[in-house]
Amino acid sequence: MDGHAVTEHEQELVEYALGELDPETAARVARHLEGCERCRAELLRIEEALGWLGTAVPQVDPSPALRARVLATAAFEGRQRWRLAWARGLLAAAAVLLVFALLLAVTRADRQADELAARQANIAAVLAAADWSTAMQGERADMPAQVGRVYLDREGRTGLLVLAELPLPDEGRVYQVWLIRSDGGRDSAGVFLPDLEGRALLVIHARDPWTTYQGMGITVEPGPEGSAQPTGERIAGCTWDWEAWATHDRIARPRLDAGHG
Amino acid sequence: MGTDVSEASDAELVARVRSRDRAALEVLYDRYARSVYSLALSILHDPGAAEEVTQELFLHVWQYPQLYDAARGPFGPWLLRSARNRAIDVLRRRTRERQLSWRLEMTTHVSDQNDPDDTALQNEAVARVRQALAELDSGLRQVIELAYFGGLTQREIAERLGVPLGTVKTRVRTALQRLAAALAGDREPWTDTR
Ligand SMILES: [Zn+2]
Repeated sequence: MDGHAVTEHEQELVEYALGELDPETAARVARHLEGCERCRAELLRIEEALGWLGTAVPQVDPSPALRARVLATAAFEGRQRWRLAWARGLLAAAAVLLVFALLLAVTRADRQADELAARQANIAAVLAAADWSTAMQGERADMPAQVGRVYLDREGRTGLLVLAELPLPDEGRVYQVWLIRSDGGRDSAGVFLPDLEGRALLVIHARDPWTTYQGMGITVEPGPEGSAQPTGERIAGCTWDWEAWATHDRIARPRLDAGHG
Repeated sequence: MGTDVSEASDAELVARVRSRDRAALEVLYDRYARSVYSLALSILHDPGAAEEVTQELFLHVWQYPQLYDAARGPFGPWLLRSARNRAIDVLRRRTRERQLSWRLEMTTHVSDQNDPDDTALQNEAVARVRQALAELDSGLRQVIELAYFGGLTQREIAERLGVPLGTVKTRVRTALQRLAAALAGDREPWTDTR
């Protein structure tokens, strides 16, 4: 009997499927699932039951206007995607150039450049460690559907937030980044202002491991130091979930080994 | 080309969505919007919020069709699980305490209606899960409804019902086992092959 009986993990799998586990336990279960076919099969059974359970409610038609809205937005986002991909490409290229330029400056022992270069080297390190990424969605009518991407290292606490096409906030206001805990709590990850082109490149230091969080939001807050908890309008955000992670693992899994048990 | 998109399987439609075929999204919407919306409405009791969840979910499918992995089961339950999780997130974002007692009230009769003819999804799985839910004794049914439609944690359920946590866990697990076994039909449930 190498390994374990299915029943040993059954309780955890049920709680995992219901989204009830604390982030550390959920991360551990997710890693276990990568290496354990039986638990994966078990989880599929539970998940499918939970899915069909969703049909056991009174059936009501949504308004026809919703259909039109969904399809119109999809048509719009089909066009938007290429423009943003292009903008992101430019931004990434610009960041790389900046790192090179600043690393050159360091060799001249310029102290200020040294600090900036350290920052850029830091960005490069965060990017190198990142094994997961998702889009930041614009949430206000005057913003594009996607305003950037977040890159993060799932097993660490740092991430990189690359933003573009952000309008400047009103006078005296700043943008504040929030990390959204699985229980709904918000941790501030700092305040920022985009440059005049609407871009920002932010290194995020999470208070707890990324597995503690399920998303990120950006709100408008009073400057210069922002708020203890979100008070202003939310303009952008993203969420992530275990299901998405499982899929992304198949695309890029440089850091998760499939260790069993 | 040439095949009628409205006859395509869910998996084929998702593949078409990947190649940016909006007609495929339209068919998926027509197939599942009612179920998704109804589930969100049962959880949120707010038509505006339920429509928002429905819209976000279908746009998510449009933007990230690769997130659905056919190896992880059929599309319908996958979509409904995502709908449930999104609706529960919205529910939890609203002030927890204020909603808790209200959620308890609302969720107790969510599945009283047991008429399979009223769902857009006509299939055996729907009938089986409804049948299995109807056959659960009230103690089991209550905990699974509170957990699934109310988004309460097992700890919260234990506190609200004044039942030990271990009992709640056993009931949730047993209820899910019964539903999964009903779906599996004659297959032996929860087998351990090694
Ligand atoms: Zn296992």
